[in-house]
Amino acid sequence: MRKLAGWIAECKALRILDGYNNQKHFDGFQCGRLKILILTLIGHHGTTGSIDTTYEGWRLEGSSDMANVKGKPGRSVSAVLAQWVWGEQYQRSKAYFDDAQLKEDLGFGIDDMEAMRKESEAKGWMPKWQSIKDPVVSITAGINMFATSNGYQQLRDNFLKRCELNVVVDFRLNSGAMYADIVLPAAAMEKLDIRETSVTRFIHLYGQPVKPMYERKTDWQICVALAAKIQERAKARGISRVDDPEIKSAIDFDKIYDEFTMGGKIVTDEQALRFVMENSKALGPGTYEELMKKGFVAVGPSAGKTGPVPKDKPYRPFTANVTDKKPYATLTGRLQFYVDHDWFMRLGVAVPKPQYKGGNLGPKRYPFVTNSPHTRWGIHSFARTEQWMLRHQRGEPDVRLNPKAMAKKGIKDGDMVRIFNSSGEFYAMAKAWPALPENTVFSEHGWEQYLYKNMTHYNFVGSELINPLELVGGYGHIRYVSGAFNPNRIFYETTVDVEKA
Amino acid sequence: MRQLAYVFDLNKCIGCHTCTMACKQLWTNRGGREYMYWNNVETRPGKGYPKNWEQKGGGFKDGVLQTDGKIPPKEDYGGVWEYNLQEVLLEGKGNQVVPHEKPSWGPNWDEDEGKGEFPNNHYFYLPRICNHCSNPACLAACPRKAIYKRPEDGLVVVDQERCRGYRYCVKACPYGKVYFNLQTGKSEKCIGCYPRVEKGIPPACVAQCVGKIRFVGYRDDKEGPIYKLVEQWKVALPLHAEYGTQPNVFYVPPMNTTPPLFEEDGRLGDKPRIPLADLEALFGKGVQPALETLGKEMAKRRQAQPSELTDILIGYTNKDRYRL
Amino acid sequence: MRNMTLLALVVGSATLLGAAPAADAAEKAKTVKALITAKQVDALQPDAEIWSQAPATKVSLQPAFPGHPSIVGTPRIAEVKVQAVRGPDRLFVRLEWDDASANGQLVDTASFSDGVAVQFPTNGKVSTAPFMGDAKSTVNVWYWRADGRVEELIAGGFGTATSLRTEGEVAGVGARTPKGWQVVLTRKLTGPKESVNLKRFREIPVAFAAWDGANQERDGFKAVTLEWWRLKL
Repeated sequence: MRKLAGWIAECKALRILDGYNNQKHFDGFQCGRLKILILTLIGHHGTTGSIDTTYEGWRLEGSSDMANVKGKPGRSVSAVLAQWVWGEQYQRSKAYFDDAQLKEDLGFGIDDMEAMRKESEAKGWMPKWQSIKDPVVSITAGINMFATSNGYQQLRDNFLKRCELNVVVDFRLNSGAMYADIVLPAAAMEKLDIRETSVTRFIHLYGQPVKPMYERKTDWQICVALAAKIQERAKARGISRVDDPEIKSAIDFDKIYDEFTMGGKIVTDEQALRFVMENSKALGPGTYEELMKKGFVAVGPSAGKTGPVPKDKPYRPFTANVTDKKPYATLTGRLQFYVDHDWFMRLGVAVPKPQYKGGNLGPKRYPFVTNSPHTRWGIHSFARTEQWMLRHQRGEPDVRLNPKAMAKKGIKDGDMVRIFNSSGEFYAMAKAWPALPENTVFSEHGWEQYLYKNMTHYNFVGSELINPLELVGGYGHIRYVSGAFNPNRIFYETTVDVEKA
Repeated sequence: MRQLAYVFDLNKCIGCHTCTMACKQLWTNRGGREYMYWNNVETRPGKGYPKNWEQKGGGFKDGVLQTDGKIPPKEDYGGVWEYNLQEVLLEGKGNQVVPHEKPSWGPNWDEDEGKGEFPNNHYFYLPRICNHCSNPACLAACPRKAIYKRPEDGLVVVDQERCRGYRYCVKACPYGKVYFNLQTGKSEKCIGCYPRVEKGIPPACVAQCVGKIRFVGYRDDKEGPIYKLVEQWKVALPLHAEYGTQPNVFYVPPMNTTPPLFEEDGRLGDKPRIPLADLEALFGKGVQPALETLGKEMAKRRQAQPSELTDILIGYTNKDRYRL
Repeated sequence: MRNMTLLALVVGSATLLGAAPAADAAEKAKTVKALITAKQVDALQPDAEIWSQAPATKVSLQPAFPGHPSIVGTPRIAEVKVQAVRGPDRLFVRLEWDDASANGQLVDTASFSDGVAVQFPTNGKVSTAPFMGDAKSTVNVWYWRADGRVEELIAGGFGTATSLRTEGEVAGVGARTPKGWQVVLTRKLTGPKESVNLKRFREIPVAFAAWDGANQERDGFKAVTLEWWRLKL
């Protein structure tokens, strides 16, 4: 730690790139505040460096125009909260966590946490969603929503009770498709789709190494076709406008295709992509053709959300605020590290500092902590069942353990083991990994449920925890913003035990 | 006779196996070659692929071809598991997608295990291809002269017309880089992607490398990276030179695998994480001077001083790394 | 240990009619006498009726000269029992030998097939080198492997054997017995143009080779007759 601090203090430029795993620990939020503080204290923030998250994204007006219908605001919801309620996760968390331990560590237990959640929703700090009583119709694309959540089986069982029509869109039978009423086959590699991320100024064309087989359609084609059918059926059934007073909006079902395709202007993939590119200041006319020719195109200066993208220097976030003196969206207009919101004060983190003294918040009666970071052998669950990928691992799901811990449990490398706690269990092959501390059970993520014995899964042992500070709103810069500030999925405050199966 | 050669910088290899998959999809995902990994990446210390290949024998001793080499059995190459996805997902039979046999060894079974104890364990990745040796043991071992070196680039190739599957070559290669095709009854190996090389395109494993660790060029090209790294800077070293085959794949040994070793009290020490003896066992006595040279040049860059060596090793563009 | 003399014989199951004394003489003379039939005969199967009439010769085998430094080891098969039947336009050669384990289909990367081969000098002359021929005088080989493959090859010295790729010219059938193998190799007397034309000869030099797959025998690692024998047809 000291050495790292020394390097940070001495370096000429510092960029902290935040991925996803930090926020899967309870103190991820405070870590984020601390990183910004460090950058500010050593003078790199907004000048020779900054914090950057991989999903900051570029400003593309064409994309936002396409996603919105004038006068009809859409609904953006915290999936963590919706799934907490629909998944009845309160019961599971209440049963799993040691309330006395939580109160001592955090200053609140599960009931307090649930009370704060309700308070946050009542105060309107979170976007409204409760008028959607149940997820009657669910359409998920490219994901098994149960697998990516905590407390997999709890969410699944309770969600499916409430869901009448479960539609899964994917180009392969992911494990989510097992629970679907209908699977819409998607095209695997889309010819006309682009990828943008603020870690590079280049927007890439996906390309299409193989033509979609059988009846597969691109995501855009699927949406356009659904909209067309809904409009057709709405007209036939005489259904027109349905109000959504909760968000002061409405949906005109008999116009939905017209609105979605902007009056028929963006029906095909090419039309949609052209629209995004040609109507974005950072791209503009001609860039579509350039993209088709070269496979990539660089964004222009206006693409940066927190600073201009210089032509011959790396993009540094927050230069707009530091160099160009644009005020921050804080109460003071400046960087604000002291937050005197009630809840921050109550939980002792008005300034950035850990919310508890360390360790794991899972019940101490289980000796191991879990970790399930990104697999090397797939792109999430994509290619996770690909035979050449599996042949380069153990051929079936594995968990990794420190060899000393294995010896103490009489577990040999290659043995089938059961990982369990009171919330659930899963089975995997044990693999010795000296790089681990003795108390860690490590699983790569992205395993499909149908690869596991007894249809278990590594997310069968977790239980949800919500950090109340991530539910705060109405305070300057601290408010719900989709994709920027909202409750995190906290996976790693989970303790388990392991035994030979 | 010209000789193509390669340098792999082990300081940059992240063990992603994209090289392996490139070769696999291009050449060996069919036709009896499924179990073969002409390019493989192994974790060191480790058993490697095929398992324990360093104990298989072959090569030369004092210039004499060794005939005691083993032909690795299939189990040493690891399982080629097939999955019942169709049955389970489309036909509703069974509720678990499983490999057709219980896995007990694979080409990458001991990935990331290495040696040592937390927090001072160590490992690194060693990507391997056929070394296209200047004194190939496989060529010397074949009674039918079915293996030859191409004069235009020194690539070593097994003539599939002449080969009758005797497998003296499989025995003789001390690196375990010749394989027997059970379907065709002939021996096969990495062909150096010569159809690509003839068009001026680098081999698939080289071109696809995500970490940009690979350099390819001719040994006599004094302006090229191979000559500079091997002859001039001497930071790229042959693997097991004592096998006597004069391999043409050279490795820049890994240094400064972070973090350094931890002392008892948790402070960071200053000894390298990978023991020098481990590296010398692979790359010989040239390791220590190579690491010193690397260290000096990297230190220059930390002082914002120029360094030709680090510029070469960074290998900014394809043109810098590939000289065909 | 291997006995290099001509009299290293194993008198096995005597299925031959009064053949023992004649067999000894044949072995001394290194001669195999074919049963000559005027009519077409079906002798392809090792248990065909005709084989009980053809005289049998016990041919002793020795390790072949390695011919290449790679070839090391001691081959295991000591003897093969040989019979021949010559029809109006076809020759059948039946070979029987002991081999405790059947190694047929290649199941592993280190598997080798059991095998047996018959070799003729293409020019019919005894001056042709019996060790796979030489550049000037080739040999014609009929080769059976226990995985069912049958090949006809031409060779002009060590390391030059080349398959004639003539489908169906040389045929072979093998049968597994409790102790070993029984194999019949057959071809029309006149075969591919590079091969020996047996119609020209009433007597021709012949040599034999056998491989024990379990011992990783293949190529020059084999048990052979180190000199030409004679086939009377």
